[in-house]
Amino acid sequence: MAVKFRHVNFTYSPKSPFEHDALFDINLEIDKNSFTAVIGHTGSGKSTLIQHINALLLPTSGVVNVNQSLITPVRIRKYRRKLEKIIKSKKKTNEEKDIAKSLLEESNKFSSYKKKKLRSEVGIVFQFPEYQLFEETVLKDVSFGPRNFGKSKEEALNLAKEALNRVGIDETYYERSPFELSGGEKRRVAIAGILAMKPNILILDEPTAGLDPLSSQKMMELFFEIYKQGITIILVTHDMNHVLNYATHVVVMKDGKVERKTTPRELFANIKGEDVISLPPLYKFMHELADRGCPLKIDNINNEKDLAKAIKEIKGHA
Amino acid sequence: MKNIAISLNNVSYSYDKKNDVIKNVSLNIEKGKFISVIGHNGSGKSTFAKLIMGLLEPKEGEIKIFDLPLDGEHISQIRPYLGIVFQNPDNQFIGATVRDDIAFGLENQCYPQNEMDPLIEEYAARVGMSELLDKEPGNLSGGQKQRVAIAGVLAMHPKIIVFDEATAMLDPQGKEDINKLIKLMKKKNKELTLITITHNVEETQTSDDVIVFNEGEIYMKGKPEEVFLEAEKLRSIRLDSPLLYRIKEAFLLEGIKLKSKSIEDLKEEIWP
Repeated sequence: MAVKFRHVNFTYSPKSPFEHDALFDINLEIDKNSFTAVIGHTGSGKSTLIQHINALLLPTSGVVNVNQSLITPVRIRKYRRKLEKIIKSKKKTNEEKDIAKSLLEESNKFSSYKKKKLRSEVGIVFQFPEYQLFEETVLKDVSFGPRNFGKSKEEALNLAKEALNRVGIDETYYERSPFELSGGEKRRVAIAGILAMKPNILILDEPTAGLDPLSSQKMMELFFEIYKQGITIILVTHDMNHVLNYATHVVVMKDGKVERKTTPRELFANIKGEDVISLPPLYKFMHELADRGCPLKIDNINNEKDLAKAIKEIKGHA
Repeated sequence: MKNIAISLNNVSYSYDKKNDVIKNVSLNIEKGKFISVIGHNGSGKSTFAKLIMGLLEPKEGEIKIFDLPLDGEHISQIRPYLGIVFQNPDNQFIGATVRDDIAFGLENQCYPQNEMDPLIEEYAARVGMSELLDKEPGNLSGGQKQRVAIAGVLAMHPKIIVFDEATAMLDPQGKEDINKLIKLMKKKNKELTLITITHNVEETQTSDDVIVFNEGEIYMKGKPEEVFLEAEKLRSIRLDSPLLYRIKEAFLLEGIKLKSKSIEDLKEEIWP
């Protein structure tokens, strides 16, 4: 298990006029070496959820277990005392006490996270990562992260070269200014900057936003290659074709809650998507045919050619 | 040339004075047409948009807007005809509230305050933002911000509006909202010439014509059904057709010829 959310709630700006509850009782496990897509409407809690994985946000209550280290709302000892207090309280309900017991059990099994270690293990690529490039040369920019995490200059340069190689940027780019590269190249350099820190979990928040279909496909192929090399990928996206084509699992968020976790094919074959997600156009079309009474087995169909064959067969039997 | 809104005659453009990103393009766009422009990054489509907006000047050739040459002499005469909605909704929100933002263009045209208020309300209503007139940008979704940008453009009474990847940064709901609004604008004002620059081929199907840019040249041009039925030609530059045409192509391989011109009709044709 790479990531485990246990009874996580999160409130922005608590006890202020801007207080806003964003996550409600999140219980979620993300497998090691999986490619998990997180989907849902704007405001459903996707970005809030992922920012808990490298402790950019701390839970208001509940815990997040990342690589066997625990992220708690306050320091772990204080949190344990708080949970013990809930368990002993006469004012709390049995349900609240049961939750506190299970969280206490979890907090006793694992040690607290170390911020620096966690941030090197969990890399986050935000939307438009190229806006974060700042160094004079591509190589300096990519080696900045490892240097900042205490690597020697030589080690950092080697890590940077390895990461650049992984994203398909060769040595002819090393001494060029990142600002003179094309949009797609800049984004690759920015991603290399994250990979150079050798994360074992890579979180991608809408990484293909603003790219044309060809660049977007190339970018997704790159992430799939990284996933195949053994890195756990967590992808926040609105593009259902990416979910269908690359993800092994999909988490559906709605109103700050995990609506379901399943596989993409199972999701798209069995959900019509009016409410939570926009289906890939082919699946939407097939569901609409099924609504008209067409006896299609949607989960057996992968593309338009399969659909044409299936319809021909159905009509042949009719 | 009375019916021509935009004409390009052998237009070329280069950012670095060495490599042309628009190469000898000639084209006429009729008044009141809804045109979709597609192509990969670097194909020249956004440069094309900036050229017809007068934001860039051609290296060679001539551009005319309603038969007036788009040059230094005529630009101030032509500008009021043109409106553009950009990709990033955050970069084009100028006012502190929705009301202020829509007012910005009108203030620039020196409208008196008492005439501005009813106009602001009219244009906010047209884009479905009447309820949110006093909201700040931070309280709006990306789709809502784009709707405000469109209201601001409409308030200037342009005759041509260019949407330069205006839905690219929006979530699916925001995309749908803007596409519906574009269709509604077209329905309500048949004189308005609309040009959408987009990556999303599914958005192009209701347009009158589709222009495909590749390496600075017009690679294909025609009605959606003419362009998208040439799937192989599109695939050779790694572009795909909308779902309607992909399904028709797949059925043809199975020996079934489908005639539908819309997804709705296609459902009926496949399963009446």
